[in-house]
Amino acid sequence: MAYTNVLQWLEESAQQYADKISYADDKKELSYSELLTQVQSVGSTLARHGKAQQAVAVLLPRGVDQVVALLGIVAAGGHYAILDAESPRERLVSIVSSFKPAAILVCDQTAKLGEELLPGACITIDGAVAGDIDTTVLADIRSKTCANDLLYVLYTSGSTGTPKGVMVSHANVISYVSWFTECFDISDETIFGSQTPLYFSMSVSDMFATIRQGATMYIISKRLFSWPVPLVNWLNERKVNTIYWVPTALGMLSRWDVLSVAPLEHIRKVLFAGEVMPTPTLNYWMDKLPGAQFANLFGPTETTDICTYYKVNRRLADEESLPIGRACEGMKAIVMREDGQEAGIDDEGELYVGGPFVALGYLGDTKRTAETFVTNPLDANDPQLYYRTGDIVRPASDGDLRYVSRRDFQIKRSGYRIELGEIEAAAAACEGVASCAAIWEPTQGHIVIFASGNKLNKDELHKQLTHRLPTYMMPDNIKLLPTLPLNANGKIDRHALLDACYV
Amino acid sequence: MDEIKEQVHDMLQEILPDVDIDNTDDLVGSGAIDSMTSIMLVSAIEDEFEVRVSPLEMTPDNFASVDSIAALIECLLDE
Repeated sequence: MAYTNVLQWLEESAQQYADKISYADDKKELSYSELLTQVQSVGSTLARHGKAQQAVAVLLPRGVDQVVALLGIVAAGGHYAILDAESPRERLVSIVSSFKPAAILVCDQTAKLGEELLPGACITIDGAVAGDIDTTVLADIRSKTCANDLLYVLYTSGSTGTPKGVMVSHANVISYVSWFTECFDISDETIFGSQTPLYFSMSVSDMFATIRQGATMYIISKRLFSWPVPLVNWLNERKVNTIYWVPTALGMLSRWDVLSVAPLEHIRKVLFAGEVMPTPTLNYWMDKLPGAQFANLFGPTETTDICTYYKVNRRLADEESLPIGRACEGMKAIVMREDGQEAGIDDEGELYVGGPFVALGYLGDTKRTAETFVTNPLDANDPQLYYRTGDIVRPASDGDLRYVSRRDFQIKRSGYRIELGEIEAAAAACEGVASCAAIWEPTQGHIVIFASGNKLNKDELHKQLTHRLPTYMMPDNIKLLPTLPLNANGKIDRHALLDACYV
Repeated sequence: MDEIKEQVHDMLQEILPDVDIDNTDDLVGSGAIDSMTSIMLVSAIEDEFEVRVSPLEMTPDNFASVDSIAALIECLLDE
C-alpha cells in the first residue's frame, strides 16, 4: 500500500495491535486502540473549534500527551510545531510569530504561558481528549489531504540565533521512516527507550517508526538521565531493546563504567546521531554489549532526520573517527569541493543531499530556502533539489564518507587551517576524558579545550595531546569542568562554552 | 556527622547559590539537583572527602537532602 498520511500507520496498527502499548511515560500508558481514540477525539475537538486544516502548536511537557496532541492535530488535517515551555521567552515568541498557529494545545501547567503567547486560542489537552469523535468530519478532512501536505514545522537552533522553521511533509516522513524501519529491522518486537525531545528531528525516527511497525515506545524522562543506575533499571524493567540517542546520552552510561555494575539486559540495537560519536565511548558500549548492533546515523533536520548511515562492522581504534557512511537507500549524496569540482577520494568538500527525505524548505524564508535547497551542482537536468548541508566530508577509499567538520568548524590559526573536530577527537582519546569540546575563541584566536572526566589533570592532558597532535594544532588553553553544559537537545552546548572562554 | 552535614551544606550552597538549602525538603524532587549539578556535587564530594562515589550510589534517594548526602559520605568514609 502506498501511504499518503502518517495516520494510516496508526489506523493499521490499531487494528492489528489494539491492546498493545503504543507509547508510555512515567504517568501514563496508552494501548494502540486507546491512542487512536484519543487522537480522533483531539482531531474532532479541533475541528469543532474551527481549527482544522491549520497550523496548531503543542505546548506540553514531555510525555505521551505530546504525542497524542500532535497526532490529533494531524487528524484534524493540520500541521504542528512543538513548543518547549523551558525555552527562553524570546525564542517562543519568535517561533509563534513565524508559525502563526490558529491554536495551541496546552495543559494546566502550560496554560498561562500559552495564553500569553496566543491569547484566547488555547485548548487544553484533557478537554480535547475527552471530546466526542465525529467520524464524518474526520473522514471528510482526510479525503482532502495528500502526501505533500505539511506534517510539521521543526525549528532548528541554527548557529546564527534566529530559529529556522523546517517544513516537513507527510511524504518526507513516510519515505524517511520507511527507510529507517527497513534499514534497522524495526518490527513489532521493537521496544524503544526514547531520549530525544520532540522539538529535535531525531525524535521523528523512533516516534513514527513505532506506529508504523506496531512497536512500543517508552519515553524516558529527562530526570532519569541524571541517575545512571536508576536509568539502567528503568530500561531493564521495560525490556527496552532499541535505543536511538545522542552520543552525550550514551556517554552518561560509559562515564563511570556504569554498565559493569549495572548491565543492560535487553538492548540489541544502539543507534546514535546528532553529534560526533567519540570512538572510545562506542568501544566501551561495544565491549559491554557484544551481541548488539551499532550504527552511526548522520543528517540535518532539512533531510527529515538522516541522510547517511554507517553500521559498525569492525572495531575501530580509539583515535580513529567513526565514518558517517553512505547515503540512505533512495537518497543521493554529492560532495563538492570549494573549487566547484566533485570531490574525489580523500578530497574534502561540502555534502549535498537529494531525494525524498529532503524537506520542503524554510517557513517564511524563501531567500534562505533558495540559497540552501539548490539544483544538482553536477547536473542541471536533474529535477531534484539538493540540500547544501554546510558539512564538510571526505569520501574515503572504502566507500564510507568521513565527517570532517561543519564548514564553520574549520578555523585558521597562525596561517594553518585547522579542524577543531580533529583536536576534539585527539582529546577524546586521552585517558580519563569522558567528554570534551574544542572551541575557537575568535577575539584572541585561541583554541580552548573543555574536558570532563575522571581524575583529569591539565598538565597530564596537555602532555598526552603532544603525543597525538602536531604542534600547530595544540590548544592554547585547557579548561577542566565537572561536566560539559548541554543544550535543550542534550548535545554539548558550544555557545555556553564559548561564553565560558570569556569568564 | 554534624561536621559532615555542615560541609555538605556549604558545598551545596556553593553549587546552588540561588537555592534555599535549609528550607528545601527534597533537593532532587524540587529540581535543584539535576544532571549537571549532581555531577558537580559528586566531584566536590570526591575531592573534599577523598572518597569514590560509585554509580550504584548515584540515586535520587541518596541525594535528596543534606542528611541523606551526609549519610552517604559517612558510609563511604567507613569503607
